[in-house]
Amino acid sequence: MQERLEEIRTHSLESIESASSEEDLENIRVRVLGRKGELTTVLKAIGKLSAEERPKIGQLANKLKKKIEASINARKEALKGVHISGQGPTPDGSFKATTDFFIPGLDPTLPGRQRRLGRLHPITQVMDEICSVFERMGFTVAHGPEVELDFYNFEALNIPPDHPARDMQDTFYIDDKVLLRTHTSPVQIHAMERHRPPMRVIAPGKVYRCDSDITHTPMFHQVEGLMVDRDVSFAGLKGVLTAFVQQIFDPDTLVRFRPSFFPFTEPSAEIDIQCVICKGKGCRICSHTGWLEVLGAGMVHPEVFRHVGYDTEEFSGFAFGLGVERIAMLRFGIDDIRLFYDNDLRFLHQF
Amino acid sequence: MLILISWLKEFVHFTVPVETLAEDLTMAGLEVEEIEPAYKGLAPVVVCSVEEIVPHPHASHLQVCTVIAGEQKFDVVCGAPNVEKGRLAALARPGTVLSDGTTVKPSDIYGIRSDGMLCSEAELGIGDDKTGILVLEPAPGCEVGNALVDVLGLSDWVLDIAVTPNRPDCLSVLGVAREVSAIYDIPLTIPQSPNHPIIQSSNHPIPISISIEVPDLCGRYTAAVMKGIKIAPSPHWMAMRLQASGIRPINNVVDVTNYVLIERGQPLHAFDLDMLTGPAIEVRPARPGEKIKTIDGKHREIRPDMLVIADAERPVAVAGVMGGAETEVNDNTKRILIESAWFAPTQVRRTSKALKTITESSYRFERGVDPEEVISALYRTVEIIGQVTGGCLAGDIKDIYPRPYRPGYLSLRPERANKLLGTGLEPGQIAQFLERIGIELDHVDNEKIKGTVPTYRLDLKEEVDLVEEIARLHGFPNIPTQVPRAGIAAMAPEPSQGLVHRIRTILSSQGMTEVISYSFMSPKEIEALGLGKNDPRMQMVSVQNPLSDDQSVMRTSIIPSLMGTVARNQARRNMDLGLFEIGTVFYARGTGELPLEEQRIVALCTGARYPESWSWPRERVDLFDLKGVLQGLLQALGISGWKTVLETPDSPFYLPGTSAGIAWGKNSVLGSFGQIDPDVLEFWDIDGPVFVFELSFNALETAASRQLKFTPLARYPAVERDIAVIVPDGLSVQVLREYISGQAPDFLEEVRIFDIYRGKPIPEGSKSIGMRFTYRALDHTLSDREVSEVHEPMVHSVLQFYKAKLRD
Repeated sequence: MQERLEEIRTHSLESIESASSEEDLENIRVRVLGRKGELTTVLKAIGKLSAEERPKIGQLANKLKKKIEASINARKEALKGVHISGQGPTPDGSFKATTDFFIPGLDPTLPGRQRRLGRLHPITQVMDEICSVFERMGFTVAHGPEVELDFYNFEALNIPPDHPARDMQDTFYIDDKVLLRTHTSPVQIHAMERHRPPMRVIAPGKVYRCDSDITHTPMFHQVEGLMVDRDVSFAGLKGVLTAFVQQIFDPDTLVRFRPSFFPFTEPSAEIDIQCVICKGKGCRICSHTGWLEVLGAGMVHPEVFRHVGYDTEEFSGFAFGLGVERIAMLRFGIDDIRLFYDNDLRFLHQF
Repeated sequence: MLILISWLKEFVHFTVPVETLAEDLTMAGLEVEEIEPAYKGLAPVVVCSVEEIVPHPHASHLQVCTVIAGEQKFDVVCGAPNVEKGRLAALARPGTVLSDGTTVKPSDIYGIRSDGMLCSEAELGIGDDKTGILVLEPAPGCEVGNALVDVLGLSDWVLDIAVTPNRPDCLSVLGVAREVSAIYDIPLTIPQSPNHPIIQSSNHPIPISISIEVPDLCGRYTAAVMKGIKIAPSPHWMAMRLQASGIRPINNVVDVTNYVLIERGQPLHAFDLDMLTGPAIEVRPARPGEKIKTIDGKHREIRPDMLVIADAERPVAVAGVMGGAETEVNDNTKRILIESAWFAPTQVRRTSKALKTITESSYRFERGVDPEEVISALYRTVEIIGQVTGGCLAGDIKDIYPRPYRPGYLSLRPERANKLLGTGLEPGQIAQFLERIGIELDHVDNEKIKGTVPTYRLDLKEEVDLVEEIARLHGFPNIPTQVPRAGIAAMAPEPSQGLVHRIRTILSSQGMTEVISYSFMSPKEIEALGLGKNDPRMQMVSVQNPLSDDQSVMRTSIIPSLMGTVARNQARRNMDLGLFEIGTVFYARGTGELPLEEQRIVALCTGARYPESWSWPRERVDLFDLKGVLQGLLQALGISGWKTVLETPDSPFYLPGTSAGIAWGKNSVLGSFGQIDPDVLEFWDIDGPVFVFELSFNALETAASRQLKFTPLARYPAVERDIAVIVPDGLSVQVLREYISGQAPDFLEEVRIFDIYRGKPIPEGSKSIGMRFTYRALDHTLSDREVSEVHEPMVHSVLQFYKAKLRD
């Protein structure tokens, strides 16, 4: 009996595939599945089999029946030129018969039925990553207003009015006292006003400066960090930021700390990493220096502590700040910062 | 700050190569941004030999020379008297920058093409001879085709140093030399000769009165009068140094004042003495209505809060910023008054800002110049002017110094320094570092180091300033790198942080792409939403100094930001968009008060429902795609009990009849959704339809704050009953469902809408709603009868209440 089924399978599938019209298929159907069809005959004969064989052969025969039906249908569709797509629900709510069997003419190289993918903005992705590195080191995320008082953005950070350091940051003003924050450093002050040391916070967010060209946008993102305790030293600053850079870039990234100036830190440092493009050999991206500036940092200036009423003898701390766009540009090799805010889908869907 | 290496070497004799110097300066805090060859402009100049000379066919005073430089021959038109066949000369090929700043180009001279220029010393800026072309003697290393800079050994470099605002002392060759001396611990030699014979020859003094009306704003004023001046171009060595430092040479008096400015960092100004009425100098606030034409040719209104230098009648200079045109040194000047002064930084800064003019002088004054350098710079100026103009002093140098500067005195605890830096430096070593930067120590022990701060280091004001100096000179790389030992800061994170994160993830998992837009926009974009006058979104925060009108207010809605994004994308044929943005909106309050900042979540979709593919139908998104995303968000955030309300007040940007609000709790509104009105789309030139939802982050945060509770999984099978009812078109599904849930037993698990149908055979004005009721009890298997007992009366009640019919 089993051989008979195998026989029916082979010749019927062959003839289905070579059928060139619906009429052919109908003939095949009648020949195999019709009332006196080959397979029908087998099915009818099953009852006469032994109790042992019956279920086994029955199963095989039924499977074959389905298979042949599906093949006939598929071939019919193919002959009709009907799209294989668009299989919606049937009127009764059940699904159209699909098959577990081989469908003649199925092309597995066709693209899959992909849904539209959503993406997170590359700045969000990089910012999340930066924050998570610091969060693993025990920093807590804090936020502050984007429109700030001059006091928090400048004065409390040891940048009095008429100080030339104000030129370091081109500021958007709302009025004499109110401005768009030029850095997320004011969040430091808010945090210190609210909490006593030990303190470990990072402040990610949008900042604003009136500047616009291939490397500057009037709005960009910063992550500011602050750590204050009894024994926080410059050596600790180097430790934390070296760890950060090596986690964000590469564990072997060379890091260089060099003196710089920020009014709210002293000593102040710029942190350079070995150019990720040329590996320090010198290229256009690093202006042939082999180094890329990625962070500004320093020991919190005593004047800042005085503003928030921390004892400068008891506590010391360090602060740092970095531009998220800069990190993202280095990471992804983006050469024009304005792409981030143009929001062209072709750009956003690359990340 | 551009620093010429050979000039620097006059002050400090370092031996390291220029690249090493640049690296070491950078690592000490003077960031060298660029190292440029000083004679870069002469790079295209090569040695050539003159092969042939023929007279110019159309100009009798010119000749056409054929020269050989390397493999090539060039024809050059030349008028110099000393051109001779067979001699070696300097050929300036196109691209050469001459001493007067012009660039050599191939040119046509009376019909003859000239491929460059044979140059004189003066034209090349390497000497003063301009009588004829530079003639070179054949020698090893001086061969045809060689670069002139190599032949003459013109190897000099210019460092471009980014000087931070705290180090105005480094805005001069002397200042950088002091740093080099401190870094390498090598001596500093200051070329200075205050007892130079010219300075002493002050016969026939010219009397002049000098007064300072406001000693707080002008702490010192020194002046020298010189006579016998012959105005001429500066000697080439000075012109060259000025050019290398980025300053254009003018004449031998002005150039010296600039030369000393660059060398010593002290701004100076020379007046034509014969143009000064009096002659007298008064340093005083400007009087109301006073005006001055400055040397840049601009007429300026000066205000009483500005400080001026005036003669007996009128202002002749804006103090610390710029001199006046009427009293400036000119070709006929014979006698001059040279000013060297100290002006209060804040005063100069305010004036410079108000006049929107930044000069070499104002830049240095506002950062702070050395009050003691004022006089030595004047001596230096007098000395060099004497050398280059033949002039001499006429009378004693005046020094009005009403408030002599008291140098700072600081003390430092070595232990404190080591604690802050994480180092273990010996007090002796620390003392040495401090001496290297010029601090005169008078006390050194293990507890304290004390000393007097040099007058040029105005930035050293407290102990920590010295700690920084120690760190710099010790070298940041030599400070250990340690993971800090610090207490745990048990600050709770802001709850909103996690929620923002979740919202982003949920929306992007539904195929929405996050965008980030500028927080500013044009007020026109807000107005385009058609909001009422009293709408809070019309209370915009204006930026005083926007980059453009398009960015002149802070956004009060994110919808315009997304509209802009859609427009830009559509212009680039990105038509199928599912976007969202989470950002801040700003509502103005009073002046001097911070605006109200709130977070909004806005999502949008337009275009095709599915990516274009063989396997998806080509269909447009509709309102329910968008609402589905919204529902998904609320569900994933665990927000239940919200409902759609048909009122959306204050949202005129939605097409009427397409919008709804999302209400939650007693009277909280989470937000709204709808289709954007085509009139609004037109403002941005967008192809619709576009569907948007907007949610308030605060409201969402409150709604999402409820702790999730586990619901036991059903263990018994459900019973389903389908009905289709024909109801009036105006009946909303939500109202119907609310009515049903009012009637339902507690084992009605769900009512699902599986079909909405309008059209034949349903009568006009009606629709058919297909509903699937799922009944399930938690504790037993429901029997058919049990279900029918409640289902049928409920259906009956619905039919009666809404005068509805069952669809066959």
